Amino acid sequence: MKPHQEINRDAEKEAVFGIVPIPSGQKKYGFTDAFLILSGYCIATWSYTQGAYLATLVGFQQLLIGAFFAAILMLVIYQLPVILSVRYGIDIWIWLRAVFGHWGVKMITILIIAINFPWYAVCADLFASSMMNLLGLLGLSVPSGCYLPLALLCVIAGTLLAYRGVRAITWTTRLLVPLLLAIGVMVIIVALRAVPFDAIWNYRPVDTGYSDTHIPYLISIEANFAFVITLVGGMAAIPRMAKTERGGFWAGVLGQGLSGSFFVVVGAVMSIATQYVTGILSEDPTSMLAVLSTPIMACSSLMLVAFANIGTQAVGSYTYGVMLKSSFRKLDYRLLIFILCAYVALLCVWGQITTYFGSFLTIGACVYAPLAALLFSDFFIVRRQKLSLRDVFGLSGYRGFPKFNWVGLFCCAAGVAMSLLVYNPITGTVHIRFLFTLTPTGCAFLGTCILYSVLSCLPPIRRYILPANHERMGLAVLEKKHKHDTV
Amino acid sequence: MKYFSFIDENQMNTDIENRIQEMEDPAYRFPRRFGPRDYITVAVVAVVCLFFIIVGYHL
Repeated sequence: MKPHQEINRDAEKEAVFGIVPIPSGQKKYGFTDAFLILSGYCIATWSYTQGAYLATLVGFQQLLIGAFFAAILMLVIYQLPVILSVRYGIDIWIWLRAVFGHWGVKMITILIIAINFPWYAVCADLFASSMMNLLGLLGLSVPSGCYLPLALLCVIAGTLLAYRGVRAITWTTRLLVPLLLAIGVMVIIVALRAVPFDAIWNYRPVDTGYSDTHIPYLISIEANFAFVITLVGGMAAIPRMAKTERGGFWAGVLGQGLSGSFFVVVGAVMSIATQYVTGILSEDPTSMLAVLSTPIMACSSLMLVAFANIGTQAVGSYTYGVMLKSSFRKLDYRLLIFILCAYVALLCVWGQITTYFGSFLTIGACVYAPLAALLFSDFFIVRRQKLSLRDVFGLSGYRGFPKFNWVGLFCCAAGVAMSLLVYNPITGTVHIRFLFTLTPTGCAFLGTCILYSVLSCLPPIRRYILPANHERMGLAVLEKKHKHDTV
Repeated sequence: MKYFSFIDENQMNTDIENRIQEMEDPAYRFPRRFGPRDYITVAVVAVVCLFFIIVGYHL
């Protein structure tokens, strides 16, 4: 078999692996393993961008509260349906076929990827910044026009790694997590040595631009909600291989809520320290490392940041390439990652992703929040944790679910509208102050849950959402029979 | 370059059916379930987080 055929075959195997149920005997992750893997997934250089953005809104103490407690609050709620992934060994996207329909879920997949992939433009931006700083440290004068080609270099290098398939990605992941941890440790050491701790602890932003001092705090809580909810699409990939529901659930919550949030705080510390020394609040760890550390340390740190961004780009291209492959099985994996590469490249050419970082977070959460809400309410309230797997997989001889579930799609659109009615993420205008206290993401989540649950109580809609005998395929019976089974 | 390739749908569906049948076997053991104590823990964690968020609102 030719190498490119082998790579595509490996991607197909990954796609199939992402689709088929994983039985108990093949589950391999305890809590610790799943926690470490998910922690690794959550750590990326864009955490620094998030931390620096939060530092423009609130003081350090409020920032700590938001980064940890707001993140964990959102996670313990929206991640609860992950127990279905552990129980049946399926990804949430399989269950969501019941919510959106078989073709509806493909449409939502594309939408999610379109909203999520700008994170990789943030990575490319950080790569370009780190390379410019590195070249400056080496005494080379680089024109500002090189910024875009450097960003595109990151995109292309990451895509080429992803192009080489699962083996290259496995090695990338093995190197990437230790790299990112090393960068985080270095950033903390440099920041705390350069700046008195009191200066960080007592830090407050000078001017947030809001006369109501509570608004920036609520925006920061919204940013933390939005930051963790962006992981909803991939929340079940690892837990479906967890050995217990408790382990799978808490690995996701703590992996993101503790490890991921820690690096957001690292980013905030770094940006506060840079502002203390230079007067400029920066989201770029390379700026800080270049300014505050010794030249040798700065150079080595910058190299680490540069490679970390390429690695993150590669893992993202691979992950979403396989996700698209699961939905569009007839398309070649290489074509799919080429499309993703072109999309990120266009965003790099636009060049405004970090300028509109806060808007980008909330726009993404506009869709993620209703998605998470529909999964939550469908699992716990509408279907009460029971699902016909043969129907959701569309196996021969079974009725299956419709191509489009218009109720689910309508509720998703309504959830997006709820978020935008409360707050305009582009202009930063608060429309409904009272509901803004719940944050746009919180409003969209609660509102979509309530709307879908109420609609499902109406008999004609209930018959539409729940086909006759939807529990007939045995797993509902098994639920009663094996209620007290343990592994 | 060939841009279209195929996952064997029939083979995959057969595999899925086999796995579902495995789960329907009376001897099959599901993973340890989320119990009442777990839901209570989740509720307590959520309340604690909400408390600190409210504290932060008043800082």
